[in-house]
Amino acid sequence: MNLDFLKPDDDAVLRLARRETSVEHEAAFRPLCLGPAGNFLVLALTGLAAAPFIAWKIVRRIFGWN
Amino acid sequence: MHDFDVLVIGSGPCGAMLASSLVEAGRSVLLLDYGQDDAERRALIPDRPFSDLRRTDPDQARYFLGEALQGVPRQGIRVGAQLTPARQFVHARTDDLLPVTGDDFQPMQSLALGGLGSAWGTACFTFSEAELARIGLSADGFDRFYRQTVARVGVSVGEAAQARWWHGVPGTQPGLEIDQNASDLLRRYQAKRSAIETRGFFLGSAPLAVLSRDLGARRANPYHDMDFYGEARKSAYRPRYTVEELRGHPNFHYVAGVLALSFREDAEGVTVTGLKEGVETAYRAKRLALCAGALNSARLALRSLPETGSTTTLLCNPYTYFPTIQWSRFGRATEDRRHSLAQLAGYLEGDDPSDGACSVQVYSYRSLLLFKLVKEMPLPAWAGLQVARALVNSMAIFGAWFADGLASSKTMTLGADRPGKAPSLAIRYALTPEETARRRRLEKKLKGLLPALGCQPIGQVDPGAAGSIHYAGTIPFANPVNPRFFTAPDYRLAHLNRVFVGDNASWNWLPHKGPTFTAMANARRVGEFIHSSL
Repeated sequence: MNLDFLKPDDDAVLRLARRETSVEHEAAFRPLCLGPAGNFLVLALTGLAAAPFIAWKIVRRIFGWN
Repeated sequence: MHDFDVLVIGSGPCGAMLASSLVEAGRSVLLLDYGQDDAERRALIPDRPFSDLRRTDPDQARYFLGEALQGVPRQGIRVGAQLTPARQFVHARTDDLLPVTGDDFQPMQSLALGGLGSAWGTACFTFSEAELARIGLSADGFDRFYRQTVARVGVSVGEAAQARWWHGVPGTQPGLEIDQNASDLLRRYQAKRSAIETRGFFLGSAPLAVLSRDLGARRANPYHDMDFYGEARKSAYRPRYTVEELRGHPNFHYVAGVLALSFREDAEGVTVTGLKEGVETAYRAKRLALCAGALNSARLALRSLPETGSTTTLLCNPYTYFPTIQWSRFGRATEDRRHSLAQLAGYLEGDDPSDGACSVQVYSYRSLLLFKLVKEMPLPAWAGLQVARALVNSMAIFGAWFADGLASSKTMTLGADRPGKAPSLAIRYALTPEETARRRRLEKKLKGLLPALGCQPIGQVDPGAAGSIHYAGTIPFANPVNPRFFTAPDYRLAHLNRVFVGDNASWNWLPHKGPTFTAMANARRVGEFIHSSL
């Protein structure tokens, strides 16, 4: 199944790139080094938080609401 | 009009190396080049570590993204991720001046000073006698050209390099330090070495054309992790350095801004017609060496020799990469001090001897920035960023290159002349069903082996048919598609006496190992043939 429609659009990537290359946002882009359990927890919580957004995108895709 | 001994077209790895061998032999050389460069952007990049720049430089977006945001890929990063803003001059203007048509093969071409060598990943491999023979090159005395190339380029080779990809050329520098990701991987491989090698996989140091010690005016790599951006210390070899050095020599003449269009041989020498500032200009020498890159050496030759036909062959290494997570590094901090290029090299043999083998290079990920990873994730950007931050220190990217052979399904055909530009090339490229099956078996085997190295694959990316940026075989020694269009064993072009093929356009086969180092050594041998023909 092609999941490309779930990827961020060009505008979102551009905003991210600009933030990543600014000194004031540098800390928000540092690698997370919280130990294996800490990083796993971050992945799990991020997945949970993102699930509704992903589900909504899939529903819109299925019903052609784009 | 000057009358030089040899006219070389193209300043890429082969052109620079061939020109240097002739100048060293006392010949006068005219190097014709389009010569795109971006010295201004290079000068913007401070000679400081990546992490320091990220924390403190308010102007970092100028070189990480570029003023026109050219460092933010619109189409994905599947090909040419190394073309950061400072490197984008490498393929500038090629869409317009060197057009290629065909949906299934979009090559990266170059009109740059240094050619595609300006973005070379720097991994160096020696070829075995059997590999050289299959290419059509005599192994007799080839080691001498490898030695000369090492002396010119500067190659660092770690103790863990294996004879399968590096057979001990003297004159190398000590290996570069590898990062923690690679050290963990190598330690795990060495602990299970016999079991893994029984399965046909070999891992060790990657020989790189990057200095670990100062060499002339070039300086040792500072481990700033800025190798995809800056060149302040000239640590990673670029053909431009050789051209710059030659320009101080009275026997060497460099003309930039020339788009070579055709050549004509006569009883006394060769005349090349090129466009300089929109005006057709003629350049003349006793001999001509085609070093414009495999695609463009053939484009020039086909246009100049219409009697040999308009279609020829093409080779390109198929390439696949596997992003993986190395669990021993997951959630751990890592050191700032590192270089950005290949950390390790590997070699995988197929289960069936007829499958041959593939080459592997292992990279870590950091200085190409997280937004490029986020762009490829099927997640909202804010979630992708957290995932990228959690995974990036433990990412090990395994690139796998596969051999390529000539076939009637891989051809390029010259189009009609166009005023002020090179004629277009229509490329048709498809692996044969047998090649595809071999590639799939090797990919599957590599993917299956990665967990034994402690690495969990999280994807498999095929960047497309031209993605390896390794092209060859367009004027092969034995051309199965157009037997009238070939390179003779002494590197002369087809039926001519004064025109030589100096790059890997002449190769009959493209081994899975990266070709650049051997192509440079071969260019020095072509230089010797030209020298003795004068």
